[in-house]
Amino acid sequence: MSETTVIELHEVDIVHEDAPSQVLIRSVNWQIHAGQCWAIGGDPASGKSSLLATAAGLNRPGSGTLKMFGRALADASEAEQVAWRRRLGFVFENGGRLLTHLTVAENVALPLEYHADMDEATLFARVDELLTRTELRPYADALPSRLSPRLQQRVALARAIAVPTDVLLLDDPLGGLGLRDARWWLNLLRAMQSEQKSKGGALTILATCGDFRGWMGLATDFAILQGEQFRTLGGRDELLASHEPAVREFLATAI
Amino acid sequence: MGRIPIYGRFHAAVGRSILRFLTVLHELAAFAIITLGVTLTKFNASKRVVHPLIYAQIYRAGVRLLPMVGFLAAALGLLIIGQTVALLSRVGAQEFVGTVMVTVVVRELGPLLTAILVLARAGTSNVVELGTSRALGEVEALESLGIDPIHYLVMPRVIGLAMSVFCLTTYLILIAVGSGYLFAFVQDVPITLPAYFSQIGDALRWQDFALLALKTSLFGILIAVVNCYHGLARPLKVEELSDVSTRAVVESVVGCVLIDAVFLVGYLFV
Repeated sequence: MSETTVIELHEVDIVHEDAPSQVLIRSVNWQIHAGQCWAIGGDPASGKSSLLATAAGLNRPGSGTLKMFGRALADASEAEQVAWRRRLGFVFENGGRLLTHLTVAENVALPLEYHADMDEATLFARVDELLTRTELRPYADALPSRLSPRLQQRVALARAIAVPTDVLLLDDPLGGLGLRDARWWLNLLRAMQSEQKSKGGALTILATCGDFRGWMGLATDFAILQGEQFRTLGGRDELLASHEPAVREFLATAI
Repeated sequence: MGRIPIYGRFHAAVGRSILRFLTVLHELAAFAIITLGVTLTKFNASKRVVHPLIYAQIYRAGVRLLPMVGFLAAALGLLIIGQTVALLSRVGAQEFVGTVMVTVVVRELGPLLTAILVLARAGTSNVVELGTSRALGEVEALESLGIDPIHYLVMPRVIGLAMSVFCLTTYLILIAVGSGYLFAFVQDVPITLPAYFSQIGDALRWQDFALLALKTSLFGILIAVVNCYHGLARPLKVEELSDVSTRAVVESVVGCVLIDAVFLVGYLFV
């Protein structure tokens, strides 16, 4: 595995996006290397979404240094930040925050139309390919409000990967899904990782979750949020070997 | 702790209001400058996405308002000529009918009335739309896609409203002038069509055209900036929408009147 650091947080305080004085997680030290798949567990309102948004550069850190692709966010120009964002795909939780006035196909086409100067035929072909891949072709002309949240989340995924991405940030993508849908997501993510690898790249995935059950097969690294603290737990083996009650709780091996 | 005397509380309330007003003014100015910067630097960027949004705003705030503007302009022409003809006839000064039209409709009432119509039609709906977008997290979604929300959401509205107010004012003036003559003709005012238009032509200066274009564009920009600012400044809750849109309308009207007052000084030199 390559050890290129894609995102690095040093002594970062994670703050609430609408109330910057409210610190949710203190002093986060976190290095994310290319090709890793992180599963970050946390209770509701523990600051998972804010952590992910900060790692993506969408939320400003309360304090500390956030580096993306080797450069501090605070020193980066607006053009550099836009270039980084194009390399990151973000899927928000609870329906993915789609643009409600655009159809499913238009939502998926938006980043392509905005960033890539491609002719209409190529654009249609690319959107069609993305909708086919996410099994959304029948809903191409529907408004997002007509879709269930689980399908909206898929549209958000198609939109996030429309422009080729190096890092995929997923905010609780398996939350509230049945086993079949969860398996669909995990299989797709696995396939995307393999494709990127075959092209000589490495897809990095950061996903938040309520427990680690779904992610044991795919995630390479685990972390939890507990009492305003971010703790990395290591890989699968360390996780399974842990006897710590909090960690066992996130493994949710028994109901 | 002693009670604050009534006059003290009054002073405190006035002070708070002034501070709040200055804060809003400061934030509005910052928002306007950012929007201006984005418009100048990114007008042609991603035009396949952004330019259709500008056309959509022109259609919504301009084209769809045309029948209403036509109706009001016809009524305005009739009212002004109706009132002034009676007055001017009494002192035998009917030849000033055209001058009155220029002074009242072209310079003052036309632009302001159009701005208020556009504000009523597009201003409040912009606050609601953008407030809802912000509350639903669509603004963050745009940022996550590397799309500048000011470029995608605000710039089309600013350009669209500026063009709409300008074009609608032009139509309003033309229709009001036409309907004014029609009324004068019906009332048997002894003024011929060439004489009427020649009066209007004599009363108009080239500066009138430049100031009209500038004033109406500024009205449109002000309405768009104030309403977009109130929609996007913070995530709005449903119960806050009516208060915020009312505030945006009041601030827009006050702003337009202030711009008008500045132009009044300009007209003194025309």
